[in-house]
Amino acid sequence: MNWHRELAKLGALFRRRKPTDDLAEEIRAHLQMEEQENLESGMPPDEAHYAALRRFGNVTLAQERSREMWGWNTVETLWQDLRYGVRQLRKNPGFTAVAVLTLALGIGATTAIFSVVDTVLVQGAPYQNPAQLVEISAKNPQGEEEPVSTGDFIHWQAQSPAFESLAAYKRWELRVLTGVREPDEVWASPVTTNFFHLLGVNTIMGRTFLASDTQTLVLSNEYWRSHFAADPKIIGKTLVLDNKPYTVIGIAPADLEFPDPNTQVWVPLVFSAAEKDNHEHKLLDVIARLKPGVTLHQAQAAMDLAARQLAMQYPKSNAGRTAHVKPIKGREIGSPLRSAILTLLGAVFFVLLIVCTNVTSMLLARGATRQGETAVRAALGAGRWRLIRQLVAEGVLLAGAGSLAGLGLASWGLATIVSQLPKYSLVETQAIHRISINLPVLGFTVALALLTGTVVSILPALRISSPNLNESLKQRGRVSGTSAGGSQVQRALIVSEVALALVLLVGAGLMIQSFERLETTPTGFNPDHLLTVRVPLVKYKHSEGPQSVAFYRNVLERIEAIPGVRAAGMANNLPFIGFHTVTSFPPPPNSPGDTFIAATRSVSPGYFQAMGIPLKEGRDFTPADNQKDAPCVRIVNEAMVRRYWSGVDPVGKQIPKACRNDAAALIVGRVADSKQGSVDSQVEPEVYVPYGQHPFASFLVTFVVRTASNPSEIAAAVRQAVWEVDHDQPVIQIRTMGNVITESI
Amino acid sequence: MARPPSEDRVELVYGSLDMLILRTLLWGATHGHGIAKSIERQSEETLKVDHGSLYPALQRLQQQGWITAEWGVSKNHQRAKYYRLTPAGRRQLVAETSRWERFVRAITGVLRPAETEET
Repeated sequence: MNWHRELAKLGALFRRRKPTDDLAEEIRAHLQMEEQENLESGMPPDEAHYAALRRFGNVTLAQERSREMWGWNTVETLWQDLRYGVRQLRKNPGFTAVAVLTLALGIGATTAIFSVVDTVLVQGAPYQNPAQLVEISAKNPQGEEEPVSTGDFIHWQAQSPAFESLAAYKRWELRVLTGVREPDEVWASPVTTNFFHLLGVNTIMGRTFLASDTQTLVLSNEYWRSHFAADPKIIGKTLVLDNKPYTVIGIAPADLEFPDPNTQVWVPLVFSAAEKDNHEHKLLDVIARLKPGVTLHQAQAAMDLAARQLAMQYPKSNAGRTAHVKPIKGREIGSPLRSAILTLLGAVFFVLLIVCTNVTSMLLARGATRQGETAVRAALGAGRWRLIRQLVAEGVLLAGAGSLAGLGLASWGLATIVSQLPKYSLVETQAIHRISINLPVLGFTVALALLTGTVVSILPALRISSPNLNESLKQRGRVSGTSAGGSQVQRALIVSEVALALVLLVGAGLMIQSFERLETTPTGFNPDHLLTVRVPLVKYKHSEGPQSVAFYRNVLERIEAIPGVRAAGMANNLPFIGFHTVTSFPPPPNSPGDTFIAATRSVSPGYFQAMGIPLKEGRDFTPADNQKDAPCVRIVNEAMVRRYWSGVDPVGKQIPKACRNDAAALIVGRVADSKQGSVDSQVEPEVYVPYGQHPFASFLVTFVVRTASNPSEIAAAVRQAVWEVDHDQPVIQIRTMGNVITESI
Repeated sequence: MARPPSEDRVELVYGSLDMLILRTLLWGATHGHGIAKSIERQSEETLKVDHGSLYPALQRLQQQGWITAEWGVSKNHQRAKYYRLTPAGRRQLVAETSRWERFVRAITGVLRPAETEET
């Protein structure tokens, strides 16, 4: 019987009018009958009518409470409240507009930062059953972690009772991509063919590796979007990596960041027969999936056994080596990025607080003018709760409108932020490119709107719903000031709002100041009008050594010939890219001790001139220094002079064992100090080498070009110059030096 | 701020009002006005309830399934809704009456302990 009634109630919800009309008619009939009786007992007609009404009591209340019994009261009154709220807000467009805009600011900013937090910090990785995934690392007899050798990996694969499967990978290899419009350098991760299956990750298009695949690749989602315009027809096409063809078989999901956030292609890792037996060469990382029910402890025991077996079988390479099983690392966000995001979150929270305070005081002020209306409603029989609910509904409506506007604001803001981020410059996580307004963020916005709406209206509502009934009715229509208690609250609100705003302003001011200071700190070279272009050596075409020297000299000459180029030079790594190369030297003559470590940079003649680093003494390198059997020479910076020779003039002196065959290097010049790492770091001692004498890290070779006018205009000409020498040469990371420095900050 | 008077009075009579309505309908089907008049008469005019408060109670009793309603025509040829007791309502009335009588006995016992002690 009960569910029948419930169903009837639900049905009644949609047929409200009839029962309502019925009730009205019934009550009318009742009143008529009472009036009739009164007339019959001798009352005059007017009195009979009013007596009947008085006897009945509050008609509206009776109707409402009868309707209450029908069970769908809450929804109906909520709807009523909302409709009424909309009417009220429309009557005061100015007030509504200001309130909505203010709320939009607060809610929009919070939503934007929340979506950053969600995408970067919170979202997990797309692996299936991540609790079962582990990484297995090797440790040498000294206990230091090392990569795994191929032979060890094959052995582990064969004897692994604890694991469902094992996969190996190399984190990254830079490969040259040709056969496309512009040759590029891609970040390739070779992985064993069971890699995707082990992780439980599937491609969003196409397929993953088969066991037999050797020349196929899976493209990363980000690279596919940025370089192939998300064209689905890319699948099946051939891309040439390091002069070998690979067929594109699939596109990875956007949130796969394994083994590295910068991975742009995954290729199969294939072992030759010789490699499979090699237990000496260590270059792999290994992950595995535990069999269901196997604990970490058991897995570790199994690996200990395997390690002992290997040590016995191959004592030369594996004696004392152990294997360690650890749960797989989640996405690691570097702490500078993490703290930057959390700081933003804090700041935006302050903004929200300010916004709420603002809107609350606005509502309080307006509440004073609505006291008359509220009093009437109370007289009609509205309970205090009902009145509060009405005002809170209005607040939520305001917040709702504000959040709609805020969402628009947030998505615009996010798009701007993401476009400002440096693309492909060893960013800490690809996730930054994926930041968008998605479902969890929308849910957050809705919740935030409800919360904000309630918060801003609760205080005014409480205040308004308890007026002195009589007083308010008398004052109805007059815009009366609030009571003493009211203005106290208002004052408190204003004070707190100003305080919050001050905190925010001071914080922002400090940040801007320190940023500015960083930006204008002298770096030792002149970053104006300086274009940097990275031209990584294509190893399969030019070997490192005399061939690369010739290649780069060729390119340099062409660049120097471009009109508008004042000077050009080349270095094997640029300052301010986040790291630099170092070399160890024997200890300085006057202070014996441990080896001396100095930064090293292989440069071309003209580098110092292009960079604007003054040559203080001696000479710059010449093309003769790059010849095959040229005498070993070096140029040092002043920090080096201070540390190594205690400030004595270095030209003509030697650094022992600095060259090939442990020969000594002759110092031929001294340059001014310039920073290597970051704007707020100390200058390190630095030794400059002619490129021909130490062609190292050729994948980082960068040209620096000083231009007469805007550096970006020369960029196309520089690319042309390089392509004239070799049209398959990737020319990448073209940035002005100013940008490089800013990005480092 | 004082609450509307009718609300106060209804709270007091809440459960008992239900009982009174059911009792009245025991004598036969009537409309709302008739129930109100009947209650007034039977209680010798001591129970002056706002007629309006009957209607929420009537709705509630309908929800519970203790009474049913039907449109009909009154003596004065007016359309009125007639309420009737259901078997379940009848049972409820019996239960409520006995509970009420127990309640009254209890209160009486507390209010006049002297009498019981004396006898």
